[in-house]
Amino acid sequence: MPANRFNGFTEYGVGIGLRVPHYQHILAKKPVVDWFEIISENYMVDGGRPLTVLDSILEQYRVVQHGVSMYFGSSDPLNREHLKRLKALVRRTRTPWLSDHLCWGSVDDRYTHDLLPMPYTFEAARLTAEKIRQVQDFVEVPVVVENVSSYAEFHVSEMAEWEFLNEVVERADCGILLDVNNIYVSSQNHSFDPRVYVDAVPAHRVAQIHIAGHSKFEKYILDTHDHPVLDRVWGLYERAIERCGPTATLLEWDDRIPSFNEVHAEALKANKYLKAATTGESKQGNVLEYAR
Amino acid sequence: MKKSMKSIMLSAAVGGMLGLPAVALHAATPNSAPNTVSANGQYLGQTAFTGLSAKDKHSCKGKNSCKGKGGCKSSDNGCKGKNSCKGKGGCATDGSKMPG
Amino acid sequence: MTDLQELQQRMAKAVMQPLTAREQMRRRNSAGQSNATEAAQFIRPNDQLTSFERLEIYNRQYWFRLFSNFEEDFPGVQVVVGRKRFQALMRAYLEAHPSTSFSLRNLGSQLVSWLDKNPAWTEPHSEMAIEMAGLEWAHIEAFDNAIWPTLSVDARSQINAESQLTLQPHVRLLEAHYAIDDALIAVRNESGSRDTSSNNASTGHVSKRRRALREMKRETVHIAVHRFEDTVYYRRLAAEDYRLLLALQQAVTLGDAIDIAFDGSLVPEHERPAYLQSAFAYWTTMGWFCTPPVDREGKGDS
Ligand SMILES: [Fe+2]
Repeated sequence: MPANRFNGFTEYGVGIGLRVPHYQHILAKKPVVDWFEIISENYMVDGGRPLTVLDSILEQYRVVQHGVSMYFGSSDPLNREHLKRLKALVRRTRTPWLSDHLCWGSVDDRYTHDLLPMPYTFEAARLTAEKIRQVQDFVEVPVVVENVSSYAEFHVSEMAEWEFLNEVVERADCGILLDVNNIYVSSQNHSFDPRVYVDAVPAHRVAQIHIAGHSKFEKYILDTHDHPVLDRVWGLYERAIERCGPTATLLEWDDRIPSFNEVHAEALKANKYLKAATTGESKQGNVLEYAR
Repeated sequence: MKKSMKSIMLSAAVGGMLGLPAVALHAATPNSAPNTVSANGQYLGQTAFTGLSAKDKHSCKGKNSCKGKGGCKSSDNGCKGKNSCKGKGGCATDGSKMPG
Repeated sequence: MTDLQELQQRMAKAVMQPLTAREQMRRRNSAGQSNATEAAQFIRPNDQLTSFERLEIYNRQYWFRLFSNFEEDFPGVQVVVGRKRFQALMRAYLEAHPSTSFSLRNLGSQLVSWLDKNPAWTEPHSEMAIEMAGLEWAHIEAFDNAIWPTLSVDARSQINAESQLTLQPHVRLLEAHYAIDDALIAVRNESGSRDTSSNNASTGHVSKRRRALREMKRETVHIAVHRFEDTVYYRRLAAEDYRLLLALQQAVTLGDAIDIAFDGSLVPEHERPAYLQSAFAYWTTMGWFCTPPVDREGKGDS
């Protein structure tokens, strides 16, 4: 749903990820942008330029925090110091919601700095949901979880990825950051129909949507965030918007980052679908593009 | 060191911190002037105060530390040795670039 | 132990194991077991990739990510030891010190002490390499360490010989035996003016720079790496300044720190008060003396 309790009842429109190469342009030119998403960890520092720049951005723009290292699915307990820093940043940015990934990445206090896939088991869903609740209680803003791209599956999995996602968010009573590019990447790597995934997501929990580019290799697809959004991902996006309504949307571009204007123009292509959802139109042509 | 000299030095240090004029009795030069050091660290006397001095060198024109280091967002296996999680902006030490 | 923890320990161990020289996943793990057999135990293959190949994607990704971050943080060390040896050094260090922080910013935090204990990776340039690593780590700290409130006039007026002064966390003090500050700035200027992704094209510059670096004459330098208006600077210090500030940083009282500063100093005795007044005035102007958070909560004062 566009505005719901998982995104603080906001209507944020189309944003882009705030990235270092664009700082100068944004601060000097003050372009009109609905909102920026920041990587929380890049600003969970004690001082210096990152925070100065962030404060300048906050004077002019709406900012939403997106984390990459909470690792809700890690069997390790939550790190208190990490949570405290995160909460301090939440107070600074006044983010209406906070996202991180449905994944794990550390064990026994060793960090891989990767978004590693979960085994889709009930035990893992229980533990992950419990940790999401703990984070939500601590930071006092709605927490939403994002589906990741993955390149491996586990023998022990007891359900499909989307069933696992549903199990977790129902238990945690949290929102979803639906990354339609990640759904597409994983669907190609694990041979499932991405539309089945999009259609299985509880629409009322979707707080935000990610779109991004990926790279195709001979035997698998990687989530590289270094391209424009591919047509098939736009197709999935259209379907997601049909189901969820005009939801806050964010383009991620993290490598080989082009000019601000190029990134922003790519993100604004989402408006076509958002407007269609508002006026009730449907573009069957694109929807058909889900098929592999 | 003689007691009196020590207390004069202490007063001078505190006076410096308080921005007091000419606390030190034996001051040979104006007290607001910073000490000058040769390239190898020899004390050369004092020069006029100008805030950041020539001794403060811009440390970085390249990329180090000017980026977000929090974590990675996407995959980076596609191209050997390439990585997508680093910020690509430069430092602002040359005054022409915004930093990160 | 839960099944989840067991699986995650197993996968993390596999993902974090060193790559082969050709940057592929090893056939056998450190215990001599087949990685193909191990991967097949917990990872499902598909019609395109074996369990081993799927695990290998994560294994490579893990290392490439650490490599690229480490290389970006220590370009000076790379020039001192040479590109090839730096690669070996980096792998050995990261194996010995995997990340224990949520932030990659801290990846190199143990490098100086590790190089100190493992000089074989840097010989015969160990001293320069360790000092360069120290400068590059100090830069990272100076870049985003905290700035605490500066000492109030009231607090400053109460300072006496027994006072302990606190330096801002972003002020890092170094003693080196080469002009590593100038050398690092030169390295950065060169790499900043190139496209850093085209490593081959820059090899000539790097080896030229390496020669220049290794031919630097030995001289003692003292450096304060500090941040001013969000920019990191390298400031040369007199030996007296260095000794004084270092003593203060080590919680020595002001009176004793002054004694330490001028122990063996060539600054004529009659000039020392003026010297001190000037030095303290400058450091105060720069906001280097501060009140740590614990003091703000009323648990002590300088
Ligand atoms: Fe995403």
